[in-house]
Amino acid sequence: MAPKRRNSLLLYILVTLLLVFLTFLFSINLGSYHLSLLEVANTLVGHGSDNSILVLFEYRLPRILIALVGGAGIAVAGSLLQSYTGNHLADTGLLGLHAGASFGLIIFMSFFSQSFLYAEMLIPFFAFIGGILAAILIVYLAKSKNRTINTNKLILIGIAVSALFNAITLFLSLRLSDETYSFAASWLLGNIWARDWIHVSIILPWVAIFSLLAYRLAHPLNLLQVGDEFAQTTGISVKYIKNNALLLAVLLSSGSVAMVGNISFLGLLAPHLARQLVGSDYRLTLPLSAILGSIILLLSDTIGRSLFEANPIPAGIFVAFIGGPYFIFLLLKNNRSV
Amino acid sequence: MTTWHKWRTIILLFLGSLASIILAISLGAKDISFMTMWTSIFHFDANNNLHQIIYEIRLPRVLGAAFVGMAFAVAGSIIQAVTRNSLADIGILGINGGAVLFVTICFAFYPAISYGWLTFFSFVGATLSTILVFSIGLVARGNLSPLTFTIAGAVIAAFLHAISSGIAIFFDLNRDLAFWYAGGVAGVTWGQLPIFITIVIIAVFVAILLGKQLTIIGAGQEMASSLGINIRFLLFSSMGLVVLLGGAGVAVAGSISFVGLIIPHVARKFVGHDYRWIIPASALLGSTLVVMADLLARIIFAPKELALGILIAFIGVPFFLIVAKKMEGI
Repeated sequence: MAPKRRNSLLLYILVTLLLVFLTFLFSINLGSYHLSLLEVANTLVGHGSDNSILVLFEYRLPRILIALVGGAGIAVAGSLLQSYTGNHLADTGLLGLHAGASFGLIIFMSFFSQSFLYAEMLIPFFAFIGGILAAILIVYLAKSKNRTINTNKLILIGIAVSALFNAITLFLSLRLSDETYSFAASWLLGNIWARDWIHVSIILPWVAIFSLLAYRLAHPLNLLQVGDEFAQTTGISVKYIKNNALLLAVLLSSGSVAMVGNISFLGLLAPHLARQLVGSDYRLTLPLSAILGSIILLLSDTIGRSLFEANPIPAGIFVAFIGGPYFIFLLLKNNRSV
Repeated sequence: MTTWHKWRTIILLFLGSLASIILAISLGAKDISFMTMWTSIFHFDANNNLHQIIYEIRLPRVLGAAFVGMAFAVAGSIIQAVTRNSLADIGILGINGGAVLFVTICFAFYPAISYGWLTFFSFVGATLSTILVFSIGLVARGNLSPLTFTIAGAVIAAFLHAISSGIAIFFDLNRDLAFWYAGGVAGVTWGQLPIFITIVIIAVFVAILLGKQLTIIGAGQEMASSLGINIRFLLFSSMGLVVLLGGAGVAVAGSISFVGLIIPHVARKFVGHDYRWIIPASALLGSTLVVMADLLARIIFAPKELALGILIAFIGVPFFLIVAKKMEGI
């Protein structure tokens, strides 16, 4: 990386981290229990009243951290999936990975959530099993006879598989109990349900580890962008890299959405914004999409819970509100260039 | 296939549809014999409990299911002909999504709205989303392939669904979540049926009259115009029918996807590629499908009910996948 490049990257990372911090301040101030900025600052350094300590540390802080980490996880997963499919329209939600994860989550919620103390630790694993099932099904169905994958067909099949898993999830939850059904229904709309420190302690290492592993793929993914044949000549195994990218995309997206709900279009939005800013080098876009994903999700969640206090609107609805039109815009642009 | 064969098929489909309606009226939490059903319809006795069940609960629900199935299936046939896209369905393409959005807005701001006005706003919503979906086809330079068009529609459907859900949550309309999620005919009342059934019957009749032109346009626009068909008029009137059928169906039962996808394919297997026959066959098959699906939704986990749309998705998705897998290129 040229020194100039590195500086601009540092600048971007610093600016976006500052944005994260501002979003954080914005989010921690807003809510049904009003706290002034001064009170927040006092509480954070350890001089708060009992009430403000409770609100800040038990309610807002864990929720904010979960939104930040979950947003990053979904954004990185989206980047990887776009690289795997070679299609910039790929989104982990649209392609059905989230729906698969929801299936795993409902199985866990119905049969294992009370099985032992800290059973929540198993959530990402259950979600991952559901997600990987969906991924295998989609890739299998999208392969044509000559073993190539038509990427638009892949998206369409993803949409259908997503509908199938959603139907299974709602079916199972309806069968089990009314509470499970309303949980599943609000999960599908992208409601950040995980709000405790235990959930932070699960999602944080999960996303951190797999994001780092994803970053190690950045260089080979850059080579893949040039073309599969070119990548092959540099001595990397295209198949191996692609499969790893898909596996990591499933791990990151299902682990994240298990906690933050079905946030569609985030895996599309964040990587695109990142590419707009710094170009197509994965060493830059992966970390930047992670940060942008965090900001978008935290902002959506904050707006949803503070602007509509009485009946909070799930974060997923705001993301879809921006992400849906953006997807159509990209679809038409791509169509034009073909 | 001779005309006589086709007539025979239509009559058989009609009998099948009638049989499914009778079966659905008689089965349920309380099984009712055919004789009781007969007397309750022709010699109604207000003091008879079974007659009450049939008249107040079963009959409106089953008739609602039959005509909802008819509306969505015929709308699906028309839109598949006009777009020449075998994956098209008013649920999948987001046309129903616009209707649901407007119905949701009505419930949010004016919960006591009459059914007539609700249907009207449902039409408005369906019209706007139809314009939205098709203008995307126009904005795109170069032709959108059926796959791309379907993806665009599906994303618009997801987008409209998100907005409707947001409104439903904010105004606390979630008492009947199933309506917004998957649709259903459990809440159909006698008050809704006369308008609804009239609209559906008229629209289906007009669609059969347009059948010949639809068949020709399904074969290609150039050929249609060389045969002297006014394409603009045909597109306009057939999209009008789609909006009428979709909007009326949504106002009664919410959005049920996949009926309009599956049924035209099945109808083609029965009567071939002539839309003068596909449309009546779709109407009858659609009503049979939704009546039977609603019956299943009521009885498999009784006393709990399964959302109708979920049940139909279980049949619809595999069907969609099979059709999509067969499709060529981008």
